[in-house]
Amino acid sequence: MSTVRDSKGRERVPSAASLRRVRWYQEARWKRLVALLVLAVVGAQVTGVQGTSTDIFYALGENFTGTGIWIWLALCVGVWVIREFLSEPVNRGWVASRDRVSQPVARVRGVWQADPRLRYGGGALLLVVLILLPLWLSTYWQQVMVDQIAIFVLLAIGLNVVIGWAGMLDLALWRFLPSGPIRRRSGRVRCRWSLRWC
Amino acid sequence: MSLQDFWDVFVLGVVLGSLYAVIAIGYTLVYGVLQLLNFAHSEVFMSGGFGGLIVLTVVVPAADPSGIQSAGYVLLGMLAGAALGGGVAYGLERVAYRPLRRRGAPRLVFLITAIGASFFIYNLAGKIFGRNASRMPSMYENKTLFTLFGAPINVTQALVVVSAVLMLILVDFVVNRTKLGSGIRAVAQDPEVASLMGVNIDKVVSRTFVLGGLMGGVAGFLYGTTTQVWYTMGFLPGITAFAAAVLGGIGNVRGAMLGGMVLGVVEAMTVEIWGDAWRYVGAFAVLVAVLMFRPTGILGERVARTA
Repeated sequence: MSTVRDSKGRERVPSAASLRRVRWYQEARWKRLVALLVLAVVGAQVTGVQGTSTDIFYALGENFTGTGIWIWLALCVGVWVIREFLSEPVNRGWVASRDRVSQPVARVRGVWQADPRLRYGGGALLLVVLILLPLWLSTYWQQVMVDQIAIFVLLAIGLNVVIGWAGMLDLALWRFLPSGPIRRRSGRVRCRWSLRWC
Repeated sequence: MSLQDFWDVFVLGVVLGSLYAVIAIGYTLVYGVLQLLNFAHSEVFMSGGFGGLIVLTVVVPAADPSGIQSAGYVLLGMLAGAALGGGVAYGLERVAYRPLRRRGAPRLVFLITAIGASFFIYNLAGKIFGRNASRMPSMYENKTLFTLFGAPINVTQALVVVSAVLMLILVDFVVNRTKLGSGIRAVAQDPEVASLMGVNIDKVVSRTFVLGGLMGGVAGFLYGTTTQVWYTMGFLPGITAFAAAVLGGIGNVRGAMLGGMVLGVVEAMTVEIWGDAWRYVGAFAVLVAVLMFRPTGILGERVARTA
């Protein structure tokens, strides 16, 4: 730090500079360490045992004494050490590998974007594959495609219309979802899916 | 409904309404400062219940306490609830909202973040403390204290109403009389001008969250003593308290108190007249009716901005 001489000729650290000076414990890295330690504790809870209501301290005790929390702590402290002390070689390696990948990707993208026939053809091929895909899949994955993917894709398209295009926040839109499968059988309204509020 | 029934139900409604009022303050304070619908506030409420439960499970002996001991336990439970509620609210602001504020995220992102944080917190509580309801340890003998217009009032009801009213007075004092309160009001009016005048916005926002969280935590503890504590206990009271804040005029602290009381009484009356299945219909019908004629709520002055 540069020093200045005051009117009596003594060496002084300029006051603004001494205010700006960051002591070792004020560095942002300790804040990041604390955040990562909190993350480790929360992660140990999330991946730990399921608690019971009869003994509310059971899960806390298990999670704080088990091996899970040590794994989490080691992971988080490891990330912190790499981030704070090894960032330069890691960054260099990352940039180098990115450059190696990005050039061929850019070439392929150039070919792809130059010819619209290629784009539409690729899209059509993807569509055909998606249409034919259920024929090759087991019943389980067919159900996954419908129940857990396609339904939510449709919902997302609907939300995109209302929120994205019309600009209205419609939190209740997905409540229309149960109104589809309702049908009358023997005088009672029944619902096919056991979604949470369906 | 005879007059006697009316008073009985009115007492129930005031008890419920005072809880709603205390929770609604958390919503309305945060909305006033950030124009943010903090849906995770119901989880702050829930964690207040768990805070009281944790401390009282450790502290309270099996034998029924009485007298000064009971008062001590109640106070301890409230403090624990307030501490955990305030802590969760602070952590929420720090982890979920402050990074978004720094980046100037659009308001929709805040809302989705609030919903996600709410899911995360209540499922974390379900994971740690089990998914069934737990009963608060008995801190006192819940006998009838006195009768009001013939309606018996027991210890829990008196406790809820008295502590809620005290908290409402405290919040009103803090918002209208203290330095923090003038900071909150300044940021609510115009954040840019407030920061030019030397108000530290980060600090004010953080303390607003903590203030709302303290209230919500105590309310969660009180709610837990009247019923039970479980991981989704915040959902319905949270939604109703949010409706109460809107009814009173969101962003307005006294409006939230009034709206909470009105909704509590209306809900109790609805249950008495039409049955438990109609519990929320009456309250929300009143909300719709009021908003039709006063879109800014009963005491609201500012036009509610869209979320």
